[in-house]
Amino acid sequence: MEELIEKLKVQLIEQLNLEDMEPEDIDADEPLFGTGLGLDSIDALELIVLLEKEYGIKIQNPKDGQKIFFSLKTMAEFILANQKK
Amino acid sequence: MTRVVVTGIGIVSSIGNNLQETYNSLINRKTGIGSIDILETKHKNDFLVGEIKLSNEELMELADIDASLAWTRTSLLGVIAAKQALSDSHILDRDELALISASTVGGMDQSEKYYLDFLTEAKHHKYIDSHHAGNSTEMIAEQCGIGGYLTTISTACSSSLNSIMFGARLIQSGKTKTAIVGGTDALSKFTINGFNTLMILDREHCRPFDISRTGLNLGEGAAYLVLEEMNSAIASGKKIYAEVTGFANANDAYHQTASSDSGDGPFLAMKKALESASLIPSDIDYINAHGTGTDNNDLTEGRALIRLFQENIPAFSSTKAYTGHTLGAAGVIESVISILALDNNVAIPNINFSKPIAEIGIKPITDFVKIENIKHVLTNSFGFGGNDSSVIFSKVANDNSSKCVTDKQNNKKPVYIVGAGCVSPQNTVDSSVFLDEVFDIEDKFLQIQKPNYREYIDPKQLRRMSKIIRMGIVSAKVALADAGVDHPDAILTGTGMGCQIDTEKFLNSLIKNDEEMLTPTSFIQSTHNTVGGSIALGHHNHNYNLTYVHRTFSFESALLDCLMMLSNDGSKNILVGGFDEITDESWLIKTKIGHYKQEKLNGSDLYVDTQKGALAGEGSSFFVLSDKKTDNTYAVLEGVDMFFRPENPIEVNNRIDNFLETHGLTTQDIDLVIQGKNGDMEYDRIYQEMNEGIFKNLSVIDYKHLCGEYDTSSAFAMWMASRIINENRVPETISKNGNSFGRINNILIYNQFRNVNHSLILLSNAD
Repeated sequence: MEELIEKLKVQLIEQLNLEDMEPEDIDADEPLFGTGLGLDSIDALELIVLLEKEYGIKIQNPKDGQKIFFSLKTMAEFILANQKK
Repeated sequence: MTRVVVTGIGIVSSIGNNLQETYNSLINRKTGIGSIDILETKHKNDFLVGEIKLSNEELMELADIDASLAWTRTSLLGVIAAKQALSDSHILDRDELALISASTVGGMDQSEKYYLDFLTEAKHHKYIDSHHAGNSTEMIAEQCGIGGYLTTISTACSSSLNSIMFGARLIQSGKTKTAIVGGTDALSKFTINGFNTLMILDREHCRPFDISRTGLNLGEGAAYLVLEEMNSAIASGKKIYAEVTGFANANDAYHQTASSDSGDGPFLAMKKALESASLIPSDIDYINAHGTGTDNNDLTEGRALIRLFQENIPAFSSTKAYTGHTLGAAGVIESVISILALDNNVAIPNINFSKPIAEIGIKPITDFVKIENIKHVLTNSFGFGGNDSSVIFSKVANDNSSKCVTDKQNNKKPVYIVGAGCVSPQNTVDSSVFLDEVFDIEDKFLQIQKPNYREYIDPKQLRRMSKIIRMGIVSAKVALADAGVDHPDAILTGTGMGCQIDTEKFLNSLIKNDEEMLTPTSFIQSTHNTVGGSIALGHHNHNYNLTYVHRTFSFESALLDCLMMLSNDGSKNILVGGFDEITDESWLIKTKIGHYKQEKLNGSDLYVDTQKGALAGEGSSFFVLSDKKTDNTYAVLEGVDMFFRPENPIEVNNRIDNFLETHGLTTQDIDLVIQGKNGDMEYDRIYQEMNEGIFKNLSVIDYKHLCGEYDTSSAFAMWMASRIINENRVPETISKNGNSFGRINNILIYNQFRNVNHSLILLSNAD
């Protein structure tokens, strides 16, 4: 889990072009959207592709993203529960 | 106010190849949406589309054109619809006829087929130059012999409603008597995959305004309207379909793709359109809604309808379940459908609707409703970048037609340049210097000096922005701050090639990943109005926001619009700018067709270089134009003119003479000419002929050794001219040996692109 979260931090920074951020700047429990990291709905779509590309998990309804991408921790939990690769 | 009427209609879409077929499909509730048969895409079995079931070869036959030219499907559809409209309105004299067209992705349908071959296969090179958004407009102009103003608008899905608006305004301001207006867009892998990344494509038939809706179906098509000044249309005894009585564009300024929860932009567009028509909500008899079938659009458009019409929403429907969402053509296709409603006293049913959206509970009409005494119909189109437009068409009331009087135009009301900002390959962001030192770089093309973006843009937003968006925003901010203006009445932008970095990024990943695993950001930002929309978003500006995308007419068209607004429409301050960016890939592709030089070059050697092509460049220049002189006034913008494919240098001479005469000047009054020589000897000869002819004995300077060649480089020239007049000096780095200057009162900027698009901008001293 910890390892996956660390990996996700790097992938998040890369996929979303978070230029000034280092992995240690992101807290695993911090909300990714709105108040926390300040991501928006376009980022959510980017993350859906990240899940498919890196973890083979397909999300059909973009609304499901809200829960899955609440924080890095929820994202990691979702990946561990659904990963097929 | 001059009244504008519709006297000709042409349309081609998945529900019919002409007006009659279109109407027949509508009254038979026959959808054009079905499987993908013509377009080659991996998603053939994934999505339904409104596709015209004719191959490009069949379309060529229908269009009756010279098949050897570089035809894109977008151009073919455009020519077919435009020819119908012109013949319907019996327009024979086309020398002064204006053509205002619209498109979102231009010639993408061919570019995406041959993109990788552009560098290797000479046989596909003809499609390199058919890519830009203005190409279909020029193909239509040439095929139809159109000789008046020519321009193209690209504001995503509202594009062609904006072209109707601009055409009507040209007529109202007396710039032309007749205009053909509309838009064209073909289906492409680019847009199908792009909308797929946004996860807003429905795999079934779209269901606008229905609770079960899950997205849109894309479509393709083109439509054009002939607009005329009403008196002459009546005098000619033509059929008059409708009067264009109201229109407005507003910006949602909320999000790049999504509408605000309460539909601010849609609400404002409809409200302002009503105001411009001097109507009240209860006057509207039918609304053709944007109604794409996406979760967000239909909910927020519905909310905007409730806000404006309250309990009395008129009969409304979306017709996207018939045609699909035809993007740049949607506004005009739905205008045609609205006019059909008006002409036949009916409201068109919304198919595939069964249960209303829970949050709003409003029901579109689902049957043909006869509307006795139908007078006014309104149509909506909303696009990315928060670009929202509404147009109202009305039946022409016979009783008051005789009362209509053409306005006496007072175009001499001065327009002042009161703020300027420029990002260029030179140090131009810092306004304390003026080209006293220039960079002497030897390179294959000239790139901008990057400003410290963080000083201007929040890092959170910056992370997503490509170069053109960054330089656009910075130069706009500098201009606004320079003018001391926070809230301009309009934001008008021009760009020839738009967001090339994002377009290339999406196109390359589409091809390399074989239409899989694509991400939305570059697609969203590939739209031409991204910069204009981003400025509106950053400044919470809900006002008129348009983007012109017609090669070297782009910035000039924005200026023309600006002049009309400040002279006629009561606007106070307008932000206007032009920008283009260069990339390695676009540079390399265009060296293949000789547009750009292949070898490195130093700017100072530009005008003696013998290599084929121009030295490519990039930049962004913005201005605040005002109807009032301020302490910060640089100059007066006297006027702008554009002309397409002049037959010979004599015609160019005459155009320049006439242009100056319109402004009460002769060449003798011109203290300085700034001309667009770009180092391409073949076309620089035209400037040379002018210099030995009409410009003989005048001081002439060049500017493209400083900024390179790009479609909106005339904005850089105007920035230079503004500074020269204001400071009454020509920096040594740009004055030629032996040029000496007295008081510089009048500057003429003359630019031309490969002898196709010629433009003139005239500035004068404000004192």
